Amino acid sequence: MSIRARQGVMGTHPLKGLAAGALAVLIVSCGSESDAGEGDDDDDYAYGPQTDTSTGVSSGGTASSYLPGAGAAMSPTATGGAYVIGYAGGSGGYDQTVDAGPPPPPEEEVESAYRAPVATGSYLWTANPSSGYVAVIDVSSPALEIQTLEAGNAPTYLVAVSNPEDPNDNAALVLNVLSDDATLLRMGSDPVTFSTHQGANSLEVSPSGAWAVAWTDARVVEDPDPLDTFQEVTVLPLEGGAEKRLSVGVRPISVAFDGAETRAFVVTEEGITTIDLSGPNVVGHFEVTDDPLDDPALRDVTITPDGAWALVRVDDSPSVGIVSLTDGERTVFTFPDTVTDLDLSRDGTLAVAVLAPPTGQPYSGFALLPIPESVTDPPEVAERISARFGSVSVSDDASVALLYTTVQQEYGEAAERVTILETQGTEGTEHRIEEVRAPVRAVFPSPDASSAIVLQEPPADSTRAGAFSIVPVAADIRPTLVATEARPHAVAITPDGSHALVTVRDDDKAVFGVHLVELATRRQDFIELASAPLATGIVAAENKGYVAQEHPEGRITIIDFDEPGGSPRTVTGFELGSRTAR
Amino acid sequence: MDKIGRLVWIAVAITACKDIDTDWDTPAAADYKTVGLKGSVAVVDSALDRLVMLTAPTQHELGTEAISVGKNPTHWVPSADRERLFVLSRGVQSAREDIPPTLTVVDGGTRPAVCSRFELDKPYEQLTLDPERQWAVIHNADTYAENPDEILFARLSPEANCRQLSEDERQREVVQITLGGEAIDLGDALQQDAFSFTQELEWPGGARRILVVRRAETVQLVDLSEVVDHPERAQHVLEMPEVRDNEFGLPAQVVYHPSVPDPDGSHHAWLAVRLGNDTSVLIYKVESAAEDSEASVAFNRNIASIGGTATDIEFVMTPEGLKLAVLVPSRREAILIDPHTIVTDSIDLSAPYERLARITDEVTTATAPEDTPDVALLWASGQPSIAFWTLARTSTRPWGSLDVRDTEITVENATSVTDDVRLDQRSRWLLLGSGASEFRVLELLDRDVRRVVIANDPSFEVSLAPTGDRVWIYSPGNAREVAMADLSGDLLRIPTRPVYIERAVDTVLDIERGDGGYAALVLHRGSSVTHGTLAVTLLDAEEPESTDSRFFSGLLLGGVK
Repeated sequence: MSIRARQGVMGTHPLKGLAAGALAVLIVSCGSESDAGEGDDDDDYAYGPQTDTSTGVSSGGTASSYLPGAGAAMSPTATGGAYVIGYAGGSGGYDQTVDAGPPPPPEEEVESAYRAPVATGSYLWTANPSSGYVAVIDVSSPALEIQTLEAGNAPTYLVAVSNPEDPNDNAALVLNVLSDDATLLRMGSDPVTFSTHQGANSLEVSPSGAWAVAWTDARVVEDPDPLDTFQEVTVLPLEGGAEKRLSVGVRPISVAFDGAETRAFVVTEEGITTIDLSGPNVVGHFEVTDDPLDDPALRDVTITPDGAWALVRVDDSPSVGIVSLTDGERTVFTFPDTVTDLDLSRDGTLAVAVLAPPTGQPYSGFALLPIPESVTDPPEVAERISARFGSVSVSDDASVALLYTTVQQEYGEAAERVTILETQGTEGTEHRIEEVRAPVRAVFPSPDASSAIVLQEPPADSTRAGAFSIVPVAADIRPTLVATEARPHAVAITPDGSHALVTVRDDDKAVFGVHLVELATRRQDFIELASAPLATGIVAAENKGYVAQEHPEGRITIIDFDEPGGSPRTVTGFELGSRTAR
Repeated sequence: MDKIGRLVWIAVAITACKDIDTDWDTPAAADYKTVGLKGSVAVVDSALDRLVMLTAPTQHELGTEAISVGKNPTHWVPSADRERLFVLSRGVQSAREDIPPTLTVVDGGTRPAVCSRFELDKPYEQLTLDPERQWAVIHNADTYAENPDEILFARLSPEANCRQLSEDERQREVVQITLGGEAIDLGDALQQDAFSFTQELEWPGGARRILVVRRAETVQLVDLSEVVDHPERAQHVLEMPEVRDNEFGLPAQVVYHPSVPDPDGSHHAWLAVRLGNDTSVLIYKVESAAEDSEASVAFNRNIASIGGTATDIEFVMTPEGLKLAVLVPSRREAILIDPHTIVTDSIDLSAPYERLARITDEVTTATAPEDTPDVALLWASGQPSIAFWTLARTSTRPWGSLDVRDTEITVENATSVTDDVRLDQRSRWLLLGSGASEFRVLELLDRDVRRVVIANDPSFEVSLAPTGDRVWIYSPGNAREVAMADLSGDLLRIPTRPVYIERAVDTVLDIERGDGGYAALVLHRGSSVTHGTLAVTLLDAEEPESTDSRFFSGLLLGGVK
């Protein structure tokens, strides 16, 4: 494509070309089956390890083997501690004569598979692989003024680089896939280019913005060869210094940093590789499981924000492992039922495990795992609720966990309920069950845990294309159901929990829009969009939200949360310049 | 007389002959042009580098006056109100002579005179006039300009009595600017008819008028409030998108809305650009730039795809606020675009209308609210109907109603009879077709389409009086008759009044008379005229009678010594 470059007055390089536009963000937690059966409420006791006669699980000891219910996996051997945790109250009034059937089918998990614009301060950054430029939209300007910054060849993967000490330091890092390098773009400064290993397609930046790791996610590579191990990563010192390529375990899955930013951790199919950033050098490898036969694809590893611990869950297993990233010691918690979901709060202080018994049982269980306290002071019991759920979404501050299931075909009406679990009640946990009237697809709690947005499927006898619910979490108020003309697509919620954006999209009917939700009042306004939404997010510094849309020249709509109706403003043509002679 | 005396006499005679103006030896131009003005007719006598101004002091008098307009007049444009005629002359640039190019502004009233003369540095060939008569833009110096972006601005002043000005007072200066200046490298060529003026637009820093320049790949906006004092400052360039490989959008039309209120009470101007080589339309909102920006103005831009080739665009006010209306005749649709969200709505027009004109001011009262939904007139060449599109919501049509009126002729041209004047508070349009012995007068308020039939003559032409209350109908070349259609009444039929003329008619021009009346000058030229190449039959415009006409010939001889 021809590129016309001129030196403009404003120091930009206006180009013409096709802009890629941003892609959607949709993050949904996974879960397991649950059955909304009748039955007593759970009893909350606190006492020591015991044998749960209903499942035959025996507990206690530092290392244990047990005989769980049929279908559960063997518990792994722990190098640190191992705990078997039963339900409070034993059988708890549940019908033990029900035949323990097969394990529940897996919950539907909608992973984030898209790349989106990134926000720093008052700016939105979006990359155009075709032109080689990154457009930066000033959300604070009335005209949504745009600057274009030159990156490398095919800038594609973009991440924000934050500086907690200076909120006005706006920067982003972009991977240029055709030139095998990364460009650090900082407002008001010249770009800095780092070479990367070939094929890098992911970036992780440390919280301070001092380090980044470029790596290759095999899951987004098209038709990878079985011999492609993607073991190379590149450590980028963003504050100065030379980049360094290192070899880690096979097929990285994620990257994290410790709180002091002295180490980086690469979760791979083989375990966790530790990188000492002072080198940088690879200094160690931790196993996350003792079972050499387990399928890495069934493994779910989450690292705490401080980089001290890794939480490991395996599909169809009743166990959860916590691995110390200091010395690799593993502590295993074995529960009476299959752990179908494990979610960690954003502050890293609490993990909630969801326990789903085999199909037919009228309850679901959960266990709270305070981090790191659980390692040395494990929870004494798991709890049961007379509700069926298999997924969990924990609020950022760990005060609330939302329990639900997406497996409607197995659990019918149970999929139309959300259980709100308060984890820090004075009397222990408390919960209530809310009817949301349509099967749940995903649940998004607000950061302040006051509300949640629940994406739903329309019932079979409904003519509407989709639905979502606005669920008050903190207040005991019934949810508000919103039927939509197109399927809900993505959700963004403001950090203060005041507003949410829910995009909807139906390509066949050309119905595109975004619902602006005021969470406290559960009022919502529909804003029609000119083209299909790709991504939505929040520019917190401006108290605005955005919806990036499909358009060859790039299109974004900014929604002002301070204005009634959102006062949407759209800009199209990110690289169309306008120059002024002064 | 002796021999010496005869020789002396011959020498004196020869000398005297050489003093006789060489004008007599200059052949008359074969195809001189005429321009009807408000109170006179200008005949461009390029052979003698002059205008011959024809006036009608009284009902039966015809005046002629020659006005010098510089050497080699090449281009002339009347003002929209016909009160002025602007003449560009290229002068002479040769080894033997150096006569500078000029722009001459002539008063086209009943007492013609030169109002202004501008001396130019190069022979420019194009002139664009400001409808509000504040500016003239002189451009296209062709081979004489190294930089085609060098243009001239002539500031016009409303001289009341040009006859009383001294020659020094008539001399004015132009301002030369280079589009883009040193700060912006434009890189694309100016289009034909590139320039147009806006009315006052809401603008950061205060309302102002803008000169819009359509280039091959960009639209340039020149701030007229800055152009004289800071000629290269405050120019804005809007880039067009790349529509195909190595091909950029060609701005074919630029429209604007001067001021639209936002919910927060602020007002903004809006611009829209129709591309001639793509199905996209660009919409811009004029905003204040960010505080840390070098510029003071920013343009929030959007691109809308309309799924077909647009032929006309216009901002319209609807109950939902400002929209951009786009006509897509290939789909028999109009598209309404919300400029804030770029959401489009398609409206079935059931006919391939190509042109749109807002007529709201002509069909609503002066006291109508600012946000009154617009009314637009739609028409198309080859279409035997016009439509009134009222953009107010109805119970069955969310985007207004379409009132189609059969014209019975295929409309090739629709022209407002007057821009500013309403005849008895009624606005009228002329609808001219092709191949039909009739035309239509469209009464906007009543939406009446009235026929005016021209007997057996599909080749007729019309000439509209500046006042808008008469149309002269004639067939150039052979016919010896003209007809006057009286538009001043509100009768169901428009009376036409034929007038026999002794000679073949070339054109008819309706002008003010010096005594307050109106005259119709029927021009004759060519073989039907003796004593020179131009003659006039003078009629009273309001009560034309062939028995009360006067004939004048040899008009181009006037002023030749």
